[in-house]
Amino acid sequence: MLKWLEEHMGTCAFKAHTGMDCPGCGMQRSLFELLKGNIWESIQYYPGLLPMMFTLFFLGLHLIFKFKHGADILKFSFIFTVTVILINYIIKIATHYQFSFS
Amino acid sequence: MNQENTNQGFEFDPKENKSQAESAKGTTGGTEQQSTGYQGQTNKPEIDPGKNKMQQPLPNSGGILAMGILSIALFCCCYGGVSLVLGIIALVMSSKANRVYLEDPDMYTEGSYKNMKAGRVTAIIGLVLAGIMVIVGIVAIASGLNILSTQEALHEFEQVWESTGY
Repeated sequence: MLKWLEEHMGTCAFKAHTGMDCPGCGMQRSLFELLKGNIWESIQYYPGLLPMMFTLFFLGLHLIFKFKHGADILKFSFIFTVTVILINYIIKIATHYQFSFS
Repeated sequence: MNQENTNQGFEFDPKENKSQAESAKGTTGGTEQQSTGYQGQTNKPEIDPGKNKMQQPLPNSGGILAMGILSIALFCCCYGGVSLVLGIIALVMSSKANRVYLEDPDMYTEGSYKNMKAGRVTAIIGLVLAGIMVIVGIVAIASGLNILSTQEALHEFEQVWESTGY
């Protein structure tokens, strides 16, 4: 099942058109590494995945159980996730991508 | 009888239920108007302690929060279009819910109001990021088409160059 999924990964339309990574690129590879149990590889592929999964998981819990400070925790966890994703993206763009067209 | 009539005059909001109107019989309209401000929770004991039991969650507050957060999780689909749509829906719904809440702050639970606020913040962040990404995508596609055309032009130029024999 996992292998089949890995062979049939969805392609990023943004990357296909522009040749440039989008802020979400790497999430799929990271998710597969996480499913295999390799947490460190998963973080290396896409550091924003774990905080994002925590946010989504906590969102589900909060909507069911209605924690007292759940909304604030969710807000800060969301902002943290966004910060991680943006920093990761900027680093990725700055280091891996050569501006070949200009 | 007269007092009841005046009280009903103040109950202009159709969403105020009947039992609440009965419980507010003793209070004057002044406290009612005070309670409609932002700090409605502070003068709650003045109005009626029994009112707390009737509080209900703000409509769609959970949905707003979920959509605001999902707008970042579905970032990479369709050039950020999905998160753009989700963010816009969440923003519109949250402004509607905010209006409903401000009409009658004592009616709704504080937790759902916080949910709505958090959903609004997350929706705004997701919307801004998705908007940037959509713009970048459009610009990149436009410039990418230019590159393709320049490459084609170069190719043609090379062919012409080779055909001349140099």
